[in-house]
Order: sequence, then C-alpha cells, then structure tokens
Amino acid sequence: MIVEKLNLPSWIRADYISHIDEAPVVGNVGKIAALHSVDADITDAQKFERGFSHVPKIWDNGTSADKKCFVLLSDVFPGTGHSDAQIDAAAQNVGANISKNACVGDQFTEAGNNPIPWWDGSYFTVGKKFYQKLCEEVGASGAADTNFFCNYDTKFANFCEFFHINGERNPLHPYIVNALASEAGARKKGDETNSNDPYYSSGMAEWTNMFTMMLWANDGETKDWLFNAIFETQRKYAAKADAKTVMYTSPWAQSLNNPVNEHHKNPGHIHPREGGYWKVPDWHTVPFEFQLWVGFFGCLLAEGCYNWDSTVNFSKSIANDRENEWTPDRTWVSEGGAAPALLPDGEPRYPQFPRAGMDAMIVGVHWYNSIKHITNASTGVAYATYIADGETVAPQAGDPRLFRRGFRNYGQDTILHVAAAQKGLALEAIGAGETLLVYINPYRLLTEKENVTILSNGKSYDLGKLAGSKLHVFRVKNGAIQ
Amino acid sequence: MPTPKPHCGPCGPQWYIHKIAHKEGSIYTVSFDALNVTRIVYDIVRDCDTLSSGQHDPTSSAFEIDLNGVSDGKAFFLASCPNCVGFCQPFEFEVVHNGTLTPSVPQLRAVISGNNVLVFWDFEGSVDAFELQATRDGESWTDVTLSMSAQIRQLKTGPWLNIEELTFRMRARKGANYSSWSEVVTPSTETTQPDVVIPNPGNVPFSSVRIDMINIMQDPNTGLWFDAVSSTSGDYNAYYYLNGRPLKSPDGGRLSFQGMAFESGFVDVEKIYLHKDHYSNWQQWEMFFWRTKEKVGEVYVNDWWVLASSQQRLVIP
Repeated sequence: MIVEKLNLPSWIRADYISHIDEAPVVGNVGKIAALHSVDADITDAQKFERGFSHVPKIWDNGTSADKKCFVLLSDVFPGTGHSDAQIDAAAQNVGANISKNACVGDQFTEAGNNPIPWWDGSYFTVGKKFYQKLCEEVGASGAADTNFFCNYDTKFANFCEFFHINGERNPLHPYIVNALASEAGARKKGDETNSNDPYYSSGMAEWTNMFTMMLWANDGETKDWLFNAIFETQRKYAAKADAKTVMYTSPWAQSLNNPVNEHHKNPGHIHPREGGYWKVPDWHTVPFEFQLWVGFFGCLLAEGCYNWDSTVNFSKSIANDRENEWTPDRTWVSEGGAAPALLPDGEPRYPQFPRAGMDAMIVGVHWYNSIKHITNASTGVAYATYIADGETVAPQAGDPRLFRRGFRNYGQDTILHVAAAQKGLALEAIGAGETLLVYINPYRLLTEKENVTILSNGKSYDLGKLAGSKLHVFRVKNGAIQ
Repeated sequence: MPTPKPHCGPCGPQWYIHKIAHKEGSIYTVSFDALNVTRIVYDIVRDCDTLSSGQHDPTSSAFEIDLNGVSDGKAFFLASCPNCVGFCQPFEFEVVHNGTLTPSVPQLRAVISGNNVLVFWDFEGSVDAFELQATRDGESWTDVTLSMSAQIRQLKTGPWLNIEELTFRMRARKGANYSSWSEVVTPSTETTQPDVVIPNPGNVPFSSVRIDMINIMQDPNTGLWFDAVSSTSGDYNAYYYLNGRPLKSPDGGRLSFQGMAFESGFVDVEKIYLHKDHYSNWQQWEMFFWRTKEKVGEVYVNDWWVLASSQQRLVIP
C-alpha cells in the first residue's frame, strides 16, 4: 500500500517578503482565506488565483464587493457615541462598499476614535443593531447568509482561554464538556459562573457570525492553542446549527503578559545587505508551522481562515527599504561596507519583519485543497483510533464525526479528552475512493517522535515515527500514488 | 435598498428539526432547534404522498407525534411556522414502529491491536441493537457484550487471549426483527506497512530568516543543528521554544540548542534571555512570567528581567 504524505511546496521560503505569486494557481478553494495584507507588486488577481479569497480594500471601488475583507474600526460610527442614527449611518456607509459575501469583522471596542464600551455590555447592544442594519443594507437574511464575523477580541469570541476555567486548566471541566453536550451549554461562557454568552442572548448571533480567535504569543503556557481552537469551532456549531466561523490569526506575535514579543526586546531582524547587515527591531512573528495549522484546520473543520496583518503597502524590492517612525531605530553592522541609504518613511515599503507567515497559511489552504474531494464526498471528518508507541487512543463513544456547519453531534467531545490527556489527535475522512488521515500532537516537541498507526475503516496504517508539534497529513488512494 | 425581512426572533431565518426518534408504539419524539416557534404545522410525506399531518404549539424544543397508520419506511417531516417567515429544513427519518423492517447486515471488520481486538462496523438504517458473537472453534458462538446502539460505527476493545484463534460475526436487531449474520471475520493485524511517499522530496530549498542573538546552523559533518550564538549573555540565560513548545528536559530542565535532527518542514525557534537571579529554571518563568509586567507608577520595574527575545524561522528541505 502506498500512502502519500503532504509536504511543503517548492515555492515556500522563510523570508521577509511573500512568495505567494510563485505558488501554483489553484483557483477558488471553496473556503474563506482572507488575507488582510497589501502588496505593491503582487496583484490581487494573483492572490485570488492562488487561493486567497478576500483582500482588505474595503473602501476601494475597484475591488469586487464580494472579495473585500476588513476588521472595522470604531471610526465608522460618525462623531462620538452610538445612537441609532449613528449606527445606521455606519452600516449604510459600510454596506455601500461591500456585499454579503465580504469577510468583515470589527474592533469596535478598542480601535478607532469612537470605541464602544464593552464592560457594560454596550458592544452587544450596538453591535446587534449595526450588523442587523448591515444585513439589511446588503440584502442578507441573517448571519448565515453572510461572512460577517464581528468582534476579534478573544474574550468575546472564544468560550475560554486555553481550556482554563477559574484560572485552572481543565479541558474536562463540566462547563467545557457541557459546551459540546447541548445547544444551551454551548451558548454560555467559560467564566466563573458559566454565564450566558451575550453574543447569543442578545440576539446578535442572528446577524453576524463569530471568529475563532487564534492569536499567538509565547505568553506563558500555550500548548493548548490548537486544540482549544478546534474545541472552539465545535462549540460554535453546537451553539447554532447554521453558524459560520473562521480561524483568525495574525503574523504578529504580541505578548500581553510579558515583554518577550514586544518591539523593545527584539534585538533586530537581520537584513543582509552589501557590505554588512541591518538589525531592525519590529514585530516578532507567529511560528510558520502554526500558520500552516490555521490554514489547514480552518478549511478542514470550519469555513476557512483570516490572516490579519495591516494595510501597509508592502514591496518586494529592497529599493523600497525605508525609515520607520513606528519601530525602534535600526542598527547598521558593517562588514566593510557603509550603510545603504534608506528612503524616507512612507509606502510602499520593504517589510522589516518576515511576512512569510501568510505564505505558510496558504500552504495549509493548498493542502486542504488537495484533499477536499475526499472530505466533500465523505459523511464528515471523524476522530480516528490510533496507536502511538503501543498505546491505543480511541474516540469517545458514539458517532465519531466532528461537529460542522449544519451537523451537530452533541456529546462527541474527543478533542477535550485528548487535550486532557495531552495526547495526539487523529482524524479521518473517507470518500471518493480515498482516505484522508491526519495526525498532530502539539504536546510533544518537534524532536520527540511517536510511532503512530492510525486505524481507519478496518485497516491499520503504520505511518512510522511522527514528530511532535508538526502537522502530518496523509492521503490514501487504494494503493496508488495520486 | 433591499426590503428587509421581518425579524423572526431568536429562531432566525432558518430553523431545524434536529432529531425524530421512535419512542414507543406509534409515538415519535421530534426535537427541533428554534427558540420562539409558537406553532409548528407539519406533514409526513413519502413519495409525494402526505401520510399524516398535524400541528403543535411547543413549550419546549421537543414534542411527540403519533404516526398510527403510517407504514414503515423512510419519510420526510415537513414543518413550517405560520408566525414567522423562517424556513425549516425538511427532515428525513424512518418510520419503524410496525416492525416490518428487517435491518440491513452490518459490515464487520476486526483488527488486532496489541492485546486488543478492535471491532469496526458500518451500518445503514435504523437499529435498536447489535449482537456481536465470537467463536474459537467455528461452531460454538459466545455473545460479546455490547451496550451501545451505533449510528455510524462503533468500537469495541477488550483483552483477549489467543486472539489469533477468535473469529467474529454480527447482526442487527430492530424490534423483533433481526438481520442476517454478517460474514465471519478473522481479526487481522492487517498492519499495512505503507510506503509513505513524499512527492517531490527535497524540492523545497533551505531558507531562513532570523533576529539577532540567535543563529541556528547545521553541522556539515553530522547534519545536526545547533545555535552558533552563546546561550548566555552576562547574567542572562537563554531559554528556547521549538515550534511553540519549551525546549526542556524530561525533568523540566533548561536545554541548550545543539545536536538537533530535523526532517523536512518548518522549524520555528524562539530564544529568550532571562535574568538568572529571577528565572533560574523553566518552572520559575512559567509561573512568574507575569512579574515582568509589574508596574510602579507608569514604569514596568521588572522589564529588565528579560534581556532580549530572538526568533529564527527555517524551512528545512
């Protein structure tokens, strides 16, 4: 038997610039792959041909209203405050620039000059009115008819942080288990009192969907980053049958609880030049491997992925290397040469931090694209039994399929059990005469390998030694190489 | 401007029948997902014929219907709510109470896993129970306890002696009707030793970007990877993360970055320098990292406990 293992494509680079224009043309993947980043010398058409679905040109008349994405600032509300007239004006303005297929979220509670208070629940009152009016403006019948995802604040979007309830990690805490056991349990928050999630209780869920937030920084212990996000997608579908969600991340790592991912602790990205190199402090980045996970699992288990950078117009040309008033001063280290001249601050600019995270995400999207015929023909992606180093790990009893849009499988909470046991996750899908096998163990180091056999459809596939913290995707096609 | 649809309340523009389960006799329980449907009007339809109709004013998300006189077989439950413009997806279910349906035969497979036998089966249709039996001599069959009713596929694990001698068969029961026994299956290790093929191996070239104070390199003699930059800087020691996981020994100790073997793929390394007097091991950092954000007035007085934070991103062929 021959099993094909997906690997990195030849065009991918660890680099400051994106190489997406060198990727193969794959067309429409059928999932959201929103790229909130702008390039001066890679066209939007090139991006769309290679799997991206949306670009952040919300105010640009030349961009298709279906293909715009944005995380709206509170500035869309004119003046100060959020009266019904101001809400209507904001929705009319945004609605005039997008369609219901645009991928839109917001940062109304923290960014811009007219933020909505969040601590008193105002966000959900104002937000519901805004998205209801926005649906009206674009002719959408409700949330399920749009790609609207509202607030990107993790505390609003996610049930809990990394399986923590009342400060303690417990993936099998009753609050978390209940979130996959019933619609009522899923419509709560993983806070101290398991309170009702205002996103649902306010009625806002009828007019906008919600992101699955996957921002990352090495802020303490982050081992549950992926499995918590998979749980969160499951929770979204458990809460609402026709829910949509996309996995949302950023190429930037921003610490909140310690300074390790802050500019002033960055001794400088190394930029080699003739006669020496620059050391340029700027954003730290999320591991590329994690971006790959967001792209793949976002498409496999949800409606896609959203990669938020900024609207800085980036250039691939070193000739556009510029001063930057927003980041700490750079340093020239001479190896015999003089510091090259820089252009004054402005755009387009050569990136100071590696942008290849967006490329890594689209690799994950391409991986999904190469196996989607299996999942589309299957009855659904299911948890699979596997044997790792001699120990058998089976799904929880019952239908082993994961929740997905339109399919709710209450009580199927294998993701919580493997998280609690800090074990790997095996998934399978069978369709179109092929089998998809996925294995990942984020609790192990890249240098710690497990001997993994996945049992699927009465067959056992010895997949050899698989490294931890690494995504392994296999495609089985009846003994033939595809 | 498009005409807005009337708001349908919390039930939204679409609502769903979640499940229709046979309760007893000709009574079935209908579960639905909608919050403020005030009246459900329904038809039971098969092949364009309406077999039964009714209405119900629900007070919860489940109610019962009586399908007395409706023959066994698949049917659609078509529901609407006259008080809203919402649309209910047609729901297909199986009428079974007359006991005239014979369940289909489960498709059985068994795989040896260590000292366990893993039994899998696929099944289509409605079922009350499965019966699994095992034999050693091919003549005397013993029931294997199953306490589940599977919809798609179930799994049974258990310790077996001389597992090579066992064979299995299974049948499904619906009411008083049984399917035929499945084919007798012999557990197989069936461990495929698949040739795991990586298309175009090595086509991706090596590439790397890094921040100062880290420089992951490959030893040309051993092929192993190491950090060419010192793991100490004055009073600060370096701590590494590898693809997001802290690089620590089994007992939690700090490890240096050397002698690493990597296969093809992304390798993401973080390197943070922590002051030795405040963070002398991983545990201290993981428990007290937040102290670096302690404030006196507007000043983060412990910010200096972290000297620097470096990263390197590698693509390994």
